[in-house]
Amino acid sequence: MSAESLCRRMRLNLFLSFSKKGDCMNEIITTIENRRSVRVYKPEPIQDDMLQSIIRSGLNAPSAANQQSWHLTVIRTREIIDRLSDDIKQTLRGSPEKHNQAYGNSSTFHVFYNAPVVILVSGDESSYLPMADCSAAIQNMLLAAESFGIGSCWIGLAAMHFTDTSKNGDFGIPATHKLYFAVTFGYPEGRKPLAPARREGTVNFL
Amino acid sequence: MNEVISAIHSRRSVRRYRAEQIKDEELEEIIAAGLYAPSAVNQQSWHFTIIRDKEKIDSLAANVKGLLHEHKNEHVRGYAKIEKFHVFYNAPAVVIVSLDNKALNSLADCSAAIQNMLLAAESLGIGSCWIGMTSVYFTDTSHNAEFGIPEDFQPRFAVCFGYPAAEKGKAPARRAGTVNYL
Repeated sequence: MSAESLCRRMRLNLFLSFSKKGDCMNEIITTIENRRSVRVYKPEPIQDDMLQSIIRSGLNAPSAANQQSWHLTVIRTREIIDRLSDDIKQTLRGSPEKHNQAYGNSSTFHVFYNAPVVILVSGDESSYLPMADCSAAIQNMLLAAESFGIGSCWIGLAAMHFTDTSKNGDFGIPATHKLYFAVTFGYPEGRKPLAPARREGTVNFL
Repeated sequence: MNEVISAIHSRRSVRRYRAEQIKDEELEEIIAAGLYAPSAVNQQSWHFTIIRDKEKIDSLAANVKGLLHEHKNEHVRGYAKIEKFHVFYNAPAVVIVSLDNKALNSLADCSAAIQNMLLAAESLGIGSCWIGMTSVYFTDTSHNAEFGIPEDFQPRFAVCFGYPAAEKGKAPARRAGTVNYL
């Protein structure tokens, strides 16, 4: 096992009686625990077969009553990504919240961190649990990307620009769906930091 | 295809379990995987309650089932009529997942955490099922104290875990037309 694939889990002292060793049980758990949001990307595009595998991983998420209530819009065109980032920043400037205004006013801030691939994730609001379905699909995509050495970031800010479905047509999103999230993908630039500490007291045993 | 991709694609909901309890260290791996999910502005807005006591699991299952008769969805009402139906499919371990409604998007945080737990379980040969219908019992936070759940958290899902007692079926076909490219 290479140093990079060693599990970086910090000692969790909220658990069961046995003491935790420094490594995880397998590659899947290591991938889950090592994955971090990436906010600096190399400009080069990601390989198409990997992108397809990431998308299929999203589509294979479980969903409430198998409704598969997600819609994915894959954007690989720099101009479209940049324009959407600019449009979202304009919306942020009009937000009543100061930290959103600050993002909107920052000349260096790019909503998608200049990533070469952005996937917009929207959910069918007439289904049981579109937010849960879409979130499970996103988590699958983040882990699939990590397994290929591709960085990713789950973006919530984009939803502020899609408060209703009036912009759906521009992006080929079905009229029944509401945009919840965007996810950025690309090869990471720089080293991954450690995960922030886990909050204490989030688990209890009966 | 690497192990991560193959776990994502091979995982299915399991609804028949062996009675044997999963190992402590396996449960810990699963819970740790949930805790390491990403969350909106790192709020980690989840609370997990682990139940491995068969009586407690059966009692919660019976309480939930008792309320399904009144459910607005006909399909869900149908479960209440099935004598053998057990809300947790007689799984030996159940994790109740509660949302922090003060957080930015706890439903998303908790869903990502659950998906991590399902995949970690799959990687260990442990079956799982993501259960939504427990919400008929936890319509408010009045049952929180008996489950040791902080009072400002809303129980929303349960996930059951155990060794599978049957072969996995095939995944249902994916809906067409759910991806477009710009």
